[in-house]
Amino acid sequence: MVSVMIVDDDQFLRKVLNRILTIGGHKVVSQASNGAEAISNYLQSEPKPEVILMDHRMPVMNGSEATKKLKEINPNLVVIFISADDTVKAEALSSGAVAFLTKPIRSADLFSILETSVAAA
Amino acid sequence: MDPMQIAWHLMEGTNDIITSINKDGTFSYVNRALMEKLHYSESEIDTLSIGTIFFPGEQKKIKAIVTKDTHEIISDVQTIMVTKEGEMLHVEGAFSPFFEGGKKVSTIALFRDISKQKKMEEDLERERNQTEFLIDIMTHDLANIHQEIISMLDFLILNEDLPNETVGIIKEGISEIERATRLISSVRKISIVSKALPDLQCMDISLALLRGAIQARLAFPEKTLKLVTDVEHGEYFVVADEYLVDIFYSLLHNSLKHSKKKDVTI
Repeated sequence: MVSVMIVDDDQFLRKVLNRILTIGGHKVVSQASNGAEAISNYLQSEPKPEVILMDHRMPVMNGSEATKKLKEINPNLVVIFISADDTVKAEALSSGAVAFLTKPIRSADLFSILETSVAAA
Repeated sequence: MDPMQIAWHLMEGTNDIITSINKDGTFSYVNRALMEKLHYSESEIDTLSIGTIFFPGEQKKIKAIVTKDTHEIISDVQTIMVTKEGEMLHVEGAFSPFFEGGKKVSTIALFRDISKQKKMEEDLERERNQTEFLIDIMTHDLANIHQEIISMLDFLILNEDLPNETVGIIKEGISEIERATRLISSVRKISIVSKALPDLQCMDISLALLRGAIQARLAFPEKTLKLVTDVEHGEYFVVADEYLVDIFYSLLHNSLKHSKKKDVTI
């Protein structure tokens, strides 16, 4: 079981991912609709999530900026990008993400990358 | 007809702006087109100078050209003039030095009005940005919707009571959604390719072909793809960008899609 925070500006997508992750045996401990909210929620959440599933394009603060700041707070935090825009892959990985998945992703692939990323960390 | 008269008629009959600029920035001659386009009358010609008919940010450049002691003709100069009322007029032209007794006395300048062309370029750029913006929104929002549908269908498949036929239909649905996403992604890539300079690199054709084949195979799990080629790894290289893989993917994808055979050999 991996504890996860979902960061995406699409409320319905967060809901669907939450349901799928729960069915897959994982626990969604927090959600955020933009990068700034993700940082705020991460600081407040207890216990802290092991993995953050991060979108890139969001209002207020994008995923890459948020990842840089989150990695300053916790260098060991595992951030996995899930984005529709694969042109930001290099930017996302250089900000500190361990993986980049292009939407849409299959549930099995998501579970696999979650487990391998946490095991590698 | 006297050649001088012909020259005079040409200068006064043309729609191009022709002028003779003195080293001090005043004009020894301006043609009819300059007065018409900048809305000055003949009585105002003596009051004109570089400072009055050129856009403030352009005056230094024009002064540098007319004061330079050179026999060189300076062409393809784009600059901005201003009308009497202060409206900008984009022009493109050439500067030709005029010497008397070995001394430069003035510069003959000929300008073509490119305001309409400039406006069209600006309009085109605005339209391009707008299109790119809409494509970005479409890519982002549709990808999210596709993600939601695929996740829900994945959720449905988990139900072990579903008949195999229904599971097959759901899987076909997922495959079609993935295809739609790739289509949208391709549209976006095309818009990027047409705008930006390609990021070229030396690429192994064989590896690009292989990567395209792997992606094409994944798109048709019910078919097999046997790719026969005499191109070896490390044998042929081309200067290309990341879209080389997309080209091979698209070719192989089309072959797999339109082949009626289950086992496809290319």
